[in-house]
Amino acid sequence: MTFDFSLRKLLAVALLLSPFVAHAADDEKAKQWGVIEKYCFDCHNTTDWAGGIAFDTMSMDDVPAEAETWEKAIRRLRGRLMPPPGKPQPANEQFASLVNFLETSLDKAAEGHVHVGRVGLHRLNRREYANAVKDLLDLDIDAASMLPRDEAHDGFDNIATALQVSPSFMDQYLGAAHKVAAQAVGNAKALPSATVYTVEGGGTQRMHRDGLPFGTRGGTVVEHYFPADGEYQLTIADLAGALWVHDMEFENTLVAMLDGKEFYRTHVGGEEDLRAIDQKQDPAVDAINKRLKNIRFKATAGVHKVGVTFLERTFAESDARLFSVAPEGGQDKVKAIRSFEVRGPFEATGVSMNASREKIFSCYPHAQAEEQACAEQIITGLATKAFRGQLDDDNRKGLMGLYTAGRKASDFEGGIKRALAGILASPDFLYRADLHPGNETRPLTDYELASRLSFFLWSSIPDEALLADAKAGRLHQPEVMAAQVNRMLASPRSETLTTNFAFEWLNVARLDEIVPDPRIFPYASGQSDLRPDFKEELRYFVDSVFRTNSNVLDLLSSNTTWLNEKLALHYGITTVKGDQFQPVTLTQSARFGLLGKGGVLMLTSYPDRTAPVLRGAWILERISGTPPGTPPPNVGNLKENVAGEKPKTLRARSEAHSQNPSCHACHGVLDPLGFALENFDATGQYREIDRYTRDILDTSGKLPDGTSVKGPDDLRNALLAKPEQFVQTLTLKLMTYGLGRPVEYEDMPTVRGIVRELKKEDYRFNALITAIVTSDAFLKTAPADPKNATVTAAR
Amino acid sequence: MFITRKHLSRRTLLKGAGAAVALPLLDAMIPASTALAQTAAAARTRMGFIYFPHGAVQAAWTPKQTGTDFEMSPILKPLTPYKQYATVVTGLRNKGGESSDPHGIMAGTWLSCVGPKDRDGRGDRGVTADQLAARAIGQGTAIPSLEIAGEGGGSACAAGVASCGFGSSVAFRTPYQALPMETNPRKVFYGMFGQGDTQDERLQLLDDSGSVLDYVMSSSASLQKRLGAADRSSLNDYLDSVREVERRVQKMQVSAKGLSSLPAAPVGVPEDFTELLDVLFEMIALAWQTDQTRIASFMLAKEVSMRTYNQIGVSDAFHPLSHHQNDPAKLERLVKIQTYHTERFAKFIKRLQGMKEGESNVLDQSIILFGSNMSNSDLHNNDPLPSVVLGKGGGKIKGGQHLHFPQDTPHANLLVTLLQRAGVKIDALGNSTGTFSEV
Repeated sequence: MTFDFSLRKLLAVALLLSPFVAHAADDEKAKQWGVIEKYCFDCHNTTDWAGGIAFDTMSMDDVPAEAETWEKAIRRLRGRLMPPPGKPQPANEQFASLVNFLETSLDKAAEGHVHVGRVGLHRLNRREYANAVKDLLDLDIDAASMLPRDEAHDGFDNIATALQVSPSFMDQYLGAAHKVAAQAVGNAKALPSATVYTVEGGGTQRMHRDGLPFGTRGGTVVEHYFPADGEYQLTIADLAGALWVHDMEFENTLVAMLDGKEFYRTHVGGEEDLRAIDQKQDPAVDAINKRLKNIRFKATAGVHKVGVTFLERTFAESDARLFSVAPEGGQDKVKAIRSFEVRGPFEATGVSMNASREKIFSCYPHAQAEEQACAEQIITGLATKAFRGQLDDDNRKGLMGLYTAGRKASDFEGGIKRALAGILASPDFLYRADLHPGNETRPLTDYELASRLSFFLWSSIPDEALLADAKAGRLHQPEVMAAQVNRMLASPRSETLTTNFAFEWLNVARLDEIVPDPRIFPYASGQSDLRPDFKEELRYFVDSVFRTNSNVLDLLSSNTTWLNEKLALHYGITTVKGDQFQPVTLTQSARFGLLGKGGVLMLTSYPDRTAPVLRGAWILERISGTPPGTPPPNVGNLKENVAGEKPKTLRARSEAHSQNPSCHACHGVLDPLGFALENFDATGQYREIDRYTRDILDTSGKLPDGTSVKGPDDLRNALLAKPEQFVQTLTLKLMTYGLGRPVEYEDMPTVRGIVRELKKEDYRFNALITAIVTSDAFLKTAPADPKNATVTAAR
Repeated sequence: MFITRKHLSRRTLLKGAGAAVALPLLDAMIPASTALAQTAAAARTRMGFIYFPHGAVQAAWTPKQTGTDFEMSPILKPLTPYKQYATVVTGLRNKGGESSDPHGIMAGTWLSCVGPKDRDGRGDRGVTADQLAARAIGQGTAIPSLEIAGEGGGSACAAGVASCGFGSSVAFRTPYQALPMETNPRKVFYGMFGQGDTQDERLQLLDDSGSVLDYVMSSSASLQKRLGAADRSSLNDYLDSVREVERRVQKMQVSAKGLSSLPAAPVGVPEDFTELLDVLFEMIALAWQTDQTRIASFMLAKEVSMRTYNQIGVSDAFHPLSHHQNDPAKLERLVKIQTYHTERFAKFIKRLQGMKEGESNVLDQSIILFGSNMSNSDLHNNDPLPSVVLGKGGGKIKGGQHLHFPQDTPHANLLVTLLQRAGVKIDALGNSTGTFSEV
C-alpha cells in the first residue's frame, strides 16, 4: 500500500487514529494490571501486606508516582524471585512484557529530570589515603597496619555516609601523618632502632619465593625503612641447634641482599658443620650461629628491599630419604629461615636523595636566607596537590606557620617535616567537601570533577595533567573529559578498579575467612593453600577484561585465564610450569568465566563442604543484581552425615528446600543455580562423583523461567542469555563505587539508559565507564535536604 | 618501613598499630601527682609475677632451716641483702599444672591452678591471678597490667587443648584467652610513654603534635564555615575527635615535662641476654615508678628454651640441661643457670628498694612472686614448687621467713593469700582450700 504523504492528510489520519492510540495505551495498562491482579494480589494485598506491599491500593495509572515500590517489584521480577516458585507463574512473555512496561513508564517519566543525588562530606578511606601518599611522596605505607579498618556499606568501603570518625580514629590518622612525614623526609639524626621480620607461613621453604632472584629458595624479602644513610646490621635467627640436630646434613648457602645486590653469604650445614656439632656440641652450634649475627652493611636513607634466602641446589646429592608426597618434592629436611632483624643506623651520615625526598624538595636552600622562599615553594606545591587544587591563602599561611615553628624547634628539614604532617592531617586532605552549598542542583566545578574522576578510576588524588585541565576550566568539556577518561583507564593506576572495586563487588575478601579443612582437603591446605593464587588469578582475569576495553560479558564467558603451575594442577591442567602466572586458554568449558574460578567457588563454600545455597545467593546478588531475601529465623542447620550411617548427598539432605512450600519460595530460585555448580568442590576442584556416597553428582535443575540446566556450562549459558541483567548489575555497582553513595531507586532510569546505550557499543568496558562519568548523576550535585541534616550521619 | 601484622603482637590496649601510634590512647594519663616525687596519699600496692621455666633443683633451692632464722640457699643467695623482704615458700603442689604434656601447659597454669581441660569457659575458672589483680586494682592506671617475656614462643598449642597459649603465656585474661607477652623492650617503652627515642625527641614530638593539632583545628574551623548545614554536622564528629586528641596531647605535655629524667627508649632487643633481662626488668621498674601500671608478669625464658648461658660459662642449652638425670656435673651447671636468673631478679629488687615512695620505698609496697610451675625438671613434676615472695605489700606481709607447708598443700592457697593482701576481694582460686595466715 502506498500513502500520499501530504502533511494535511497525515494530520487527518493522526487525528482519526488518536482515540485508538489512547485506547491502545489504556488496553496495555489494563493487560499489565491484569497480570498483577492474577499473580500478585493473593499475597500482596491490604489484608496480608506481604513484604509491606499491597498492590490493591495501587494502580497502573501513575506508575512513576509509586516509583520506589515499582522498582522493587521490577528487581524481584527480573530475578524471578516473584512470584515465588511453587505459586502460579505468568508465562515468560508476560514477565518480559510487564517488566518492559514498568521500566518504560519509569524511564519516560525520568526523561528531562535525571536524578542527581548528593554525596555529603566524604572522607578518604585508608586505601585512598595510602594511594594519595604514594602519589604525593612516592612512599609505600602499609595502610592496613597503620590505620583503622573502614566501615563498608553495600559492600564498598568508600561510601561517604559510612566513613565516620572517632577520637581513636583521629589519633591513628594524626599518628600516621607524623610518621609518614618523618619517613618521607628522613632523619639525619636518627638513633639506632631494630625491626624484626618473621618469615611468613612457616613451612619448609623448599621452593623459590616471589621477589627473590631465580636460583634461590625459601627465605623472604621485606621492604625496610632506613631513616638515614649509614651502617646497619643484619642478624638472622639461629639456624643451628643441638638437642635435635636436624637439617644439618645438607649444606645450605645463605645469601643476604640489599635491593637485589648480595652483600653477604655464608654456609650452614654440610659435612664439616655436622661433624663439629657431633664432636663439640654446643660450642660448635654457637660458632655456626655466630656467622649469622651482626652482619654489617651500608645503606642510604629511604625504603630498600632486604632479602635473606638460600641458594637452590639439587637435593639428589643428599643421602636422606626423598619426601614424595609434598608438591615441592625432594629432600624433606632443609634449613628454613624463621626471622631476621635489621638494626641501625649506627653513625648516621646524613640523608641522601631518594624517591620521596625528590618529590618533596623541589628546591633546596644553600644559605639561611634562601630558606623561607624555598619552604614556601615546597609547601605550596605539596599542599596544592594534596588538597586537589584547592589551597587558599589562609590555609597556606597556617601551613607556613607550622613550618616556622618547626624550623625554630629544629632546622629547615624539621620545619618541612612539620608542615608536611600538617598537610596530611588537614581536613582539606582527608575530606572531599561540597564547598559551594546552595539550593539548586548545580554542575560540579572542574576541581570537584577532577577529584571525583581520579578517586573513581585511580582511588587516589588527581595528577598534574588532570589538575591542569581543571585549573584551565576545560575539564567539563566533553572531548577533554573523554580524552582524560581514556588516558586514565590506560594508566596502570586504574588497576584499582580491579583490586578495589571488583574485589569488593565479588566479595573476594571472604577468602581470608575460609580456611579449607586440612583433613578433607589436604591438597588445598597448609603448604598447598591456594587462596593467594586464587586471588592472583582473579586479579589478572578481571584486570584483563577491564583494561583491554573488552566486552564486559567476557567476565562470564571468557575461555582465557591466568595460572601458575600450582593452580593449574589444581584445575587438572598439566601443561603449565613454574610459579609465574601465565595466560592459559582453557579447554574445559566448565571453567570459563567467573563461575569457573577457584576463588569464587571457594568463597561461596564452607571450609568443609560446598554450599549451593551460598553459591546461588552469590550469583543472584552479584551477577544478576537481584539479591534474595534473608532466611527466616530458627531455620536450623542442614543435617550433616553421621558417622556409621549411610551418607546422603547434599542434594538429598536439602530435600526440605523443595518439599516445604515456604522454603521452596526462595530455594526454588537459589538451589538450581548452586546445584548446577556442584561439579566444583569447596576448593574449586572439578569432580563428577560425590566423595561420600560415591554417586554421580546430580547437577540438574530447573530455573524459574523454565530453562533446564545441568552443570556449569548450562548455567553459564543461561546467564549469558540475559546479558542486560549482568551489565545492569555491573553498572549499578560501578556507580555506587564511583559516586560514593548507594544507588537509589531514582537512579534506576539512569542505569537502564546506560545499559541500553552500551548495547550499541558491544558492552565494552571503556564505554561503560564513559557513560557513567558523563551521566548527570556524576557531573552534578543536588542540594542538601535540610531534613536530612542529621540523617546523613545515621544512614 | 613495611610493618606486617606479624609484629604487632601487643594487645589492643595499645591501639592497633603499635609502633605507628604516636600517642597512647589512654584516658587516665600519667596523673599530675606523678612519678618521681610521689605525694599521693593512698599507698599503691604493686604486684609482680616473675616466672622461670624448668623448675629448680630442690636441694639448692630449699633453705635448710624454716622460720625466721634461716640461711638463703645457693640459688637464692643473690637475695640475701633483701632477706627481711623475702618470704620463701616451699612444699606447695600445683595439681592444675600436672599433665602428660607438661611443657604444653606449664606457663598457663602457674597462676590459675586449673588445667586447660578443667575449664569450661564460664566464670573465672582459669583466669590467672595477675589478671584478677588487674581487674580489681589495676583499673586506675593507664595500663591495667604489663606482660613481658625474655623469649617469645614456647609450646604454643598443647595437644588436645581447646585454645593455645598455655605453653607460652602466664597471663590469661579469660579462661581461654592468653595474653601475648611482649619481648621487645622498645615496644614496651613506646606503649607506655609514647614515641620518641630521647626525652628531647619525646618533647619535640609532643610539640609537633600540639602545633599540628592547632593548625588542624583552625583549618577545620574555616572549612566548616564554607560547608552547608548538613555537612557541618558531619564535620562536627571530626572536630570533636580532634579536640579529644588535643586534650590528651596537652595532658601528656604536662606530664612529659615532669618525666624529664626518663631514659632514652631502648634500641630494640639486645643481643646479650643479661642486658635483655635487665632492660625488661627496668621497664617494669619504670612502669611502677611512673604509675603507668601496677601489675606486671614476666617470663624470663620460654618453656623448652634452648638458650645457652655462655655468659656464665654454661654452654649447654637450657632445656636439655634441665634433663639432668641426676648427673652431679649437670646439676651443678643447672643450678648456675637458676642462680643467674635470681641474680637478675635481685638487681630488680635492689632497684625497687631504691625507689622512694612517701615514707618508704616501692619494694615495701610490692608483692612479687618469683617462682616456677615445675619442681624437678627431670621428672616434670609440679610438687614441691619453688617460690619466693619479695616485698611487704605495704605492711601486709611479714617477710623474712621460710615457710614450709605439708605435702599436697595447694599452690593456689598462696596465690589467694597474696591477692588478698594486695587488696583484691577473693576467696578462692583454682583448687585452693584456704589461705596462709603465716605469710
